[in-house]
Amino acid sequence: MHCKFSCRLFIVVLLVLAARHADAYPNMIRLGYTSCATCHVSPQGGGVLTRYGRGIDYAQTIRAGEPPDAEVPSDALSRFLYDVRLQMSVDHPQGGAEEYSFNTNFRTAVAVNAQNRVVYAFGVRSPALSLNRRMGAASLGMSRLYWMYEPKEGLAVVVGRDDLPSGLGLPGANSFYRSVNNPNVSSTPTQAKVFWWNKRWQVATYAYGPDGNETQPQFEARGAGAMGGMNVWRDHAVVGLTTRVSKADAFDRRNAGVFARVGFNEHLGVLAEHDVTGRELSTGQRLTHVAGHAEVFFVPFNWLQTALAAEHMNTVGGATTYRLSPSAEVRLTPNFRLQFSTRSVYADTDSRTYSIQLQVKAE
Amino acid sequence: MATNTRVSTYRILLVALFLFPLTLRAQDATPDAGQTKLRVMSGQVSVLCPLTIGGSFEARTKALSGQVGMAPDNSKPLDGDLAVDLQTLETGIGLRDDHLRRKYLEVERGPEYSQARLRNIRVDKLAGKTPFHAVLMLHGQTKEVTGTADIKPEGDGYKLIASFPVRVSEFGIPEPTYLGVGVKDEVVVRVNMNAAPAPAATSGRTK
Repeated sequence: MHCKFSCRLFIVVLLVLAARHADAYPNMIRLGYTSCATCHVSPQGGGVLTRYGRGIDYAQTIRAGEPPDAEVPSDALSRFLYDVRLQMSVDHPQGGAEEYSFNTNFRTAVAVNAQNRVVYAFGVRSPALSLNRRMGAASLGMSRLYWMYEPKEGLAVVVGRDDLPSGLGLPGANSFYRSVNNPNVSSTPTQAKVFWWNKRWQVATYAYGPDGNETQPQFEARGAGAMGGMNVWRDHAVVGLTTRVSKADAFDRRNAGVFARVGFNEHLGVLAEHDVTGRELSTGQRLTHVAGHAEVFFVPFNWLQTALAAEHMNTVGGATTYRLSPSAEVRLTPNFRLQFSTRSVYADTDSRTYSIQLQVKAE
Repeated sequence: MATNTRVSTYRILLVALFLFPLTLRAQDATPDAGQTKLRVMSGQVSVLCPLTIGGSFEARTKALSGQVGMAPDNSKPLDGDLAVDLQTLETGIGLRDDHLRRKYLEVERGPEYSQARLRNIRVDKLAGKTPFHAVLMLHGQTKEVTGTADIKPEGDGYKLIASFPVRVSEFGIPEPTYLGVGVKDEVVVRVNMNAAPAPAATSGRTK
């Protein structure tokens, strides 16, 4: 009985972690956007949009139109970019009670001058509410705080707290298996990283250390990594490699992977990221994990984005977990989005969760 | 004797009636000395627009029409022209289509703006990869363009894939920028079309 509850709790936590970030759209490769830097302040994607990114965002809704600052001269420096997002979610686990959650996120990028920006994000997360019980407590957390220096176009140096660079630039993609192949560590460690990109290449190298969000001091990891991608097909396909090594008192970890972002045309494409992780625990146990995320996306209209994602997490000689997640997002207006998804997890205990999320955004 | 003469006359008439349509087709295909008129049966034009900050977008249309006379003498330009309806260009984002057509190509200013035309097309050979030269009429301006073409005989017509660079500024098109991101001055035009002998001397449009 106790185990059953723990398993369910584990799955719920896994699903919450795996909820897709609605603000990262590597599927823009379908329209020739090979790099996140075109639309996002951060070259690794996610987070606050640039003025151009906001324009593209506005243009891809049912009520497409010009953003408020469309008349401002194109070369004007945007001193203060921000957005506030309210997300209301209803999750219905198979055989369980509905759970309601309400999150608020504030993100901003302040330009000190044309080359220097300070990026900051924090969120207030409500407890997940259900009809028969109340789980946890509201939490307030700073997820990002970093300084970004762009000495010239195509080169950026970032120092602070942020997500580590990944091949797809889709945080939800690897959060499904991160809790297994990289548990107890912070997802936004303190780091220094360099991005270099041009028409052909995208390279990121980084080194990182603890940020205090680790569950125990022995999981305070230090490490370094690199990600390199190459534009291989007329701005519609990027393939690349990732690698990372890290060390903490509790483990040594080595990881290498491949990724691909392909847009076959303006409607259809594939995103895939797979990696192999070797972990040696302080207990002497050696683990090898093979994990991956593959997703077919279909965008019949810019305001309707659908995807079918399949993920797997295999531990050599151990457990195997799969997840299948069809999803659809309707972009009603620049400020309102509705997302539907189903997440079916196939593990020792199978589960299915139906989810509806309404996002209200102000910027 | 009279019967034989009548039979011969009927035979000649029958043969003449049978051959008449073929003669017409041959005349359609060779209206000018040594030229075969080829009409665009299907095609697509795409314009690859690199962005100043990286990446690119494509503006595409299938509204390619026109016909050209394939002269056996390669030193002479091909007779006829190809036209592209710029009002049907699509980039994958509706708002961008609107900006492209109205703000930059200014298609509402008249036919010289709503259509792009390729004239005086000159190729070194009529099969295989070859350089080509042509005169492009775009945005009310006329400039010579140079590119490469790959021509393959297909059925009784040809399949052609051609590409050539175009400098936006040379055609008086305002510098395309939107919210701090621009299109580079040089864009690349790709033409992919199938052409077949024209059945009649019309310049119908194929979409």
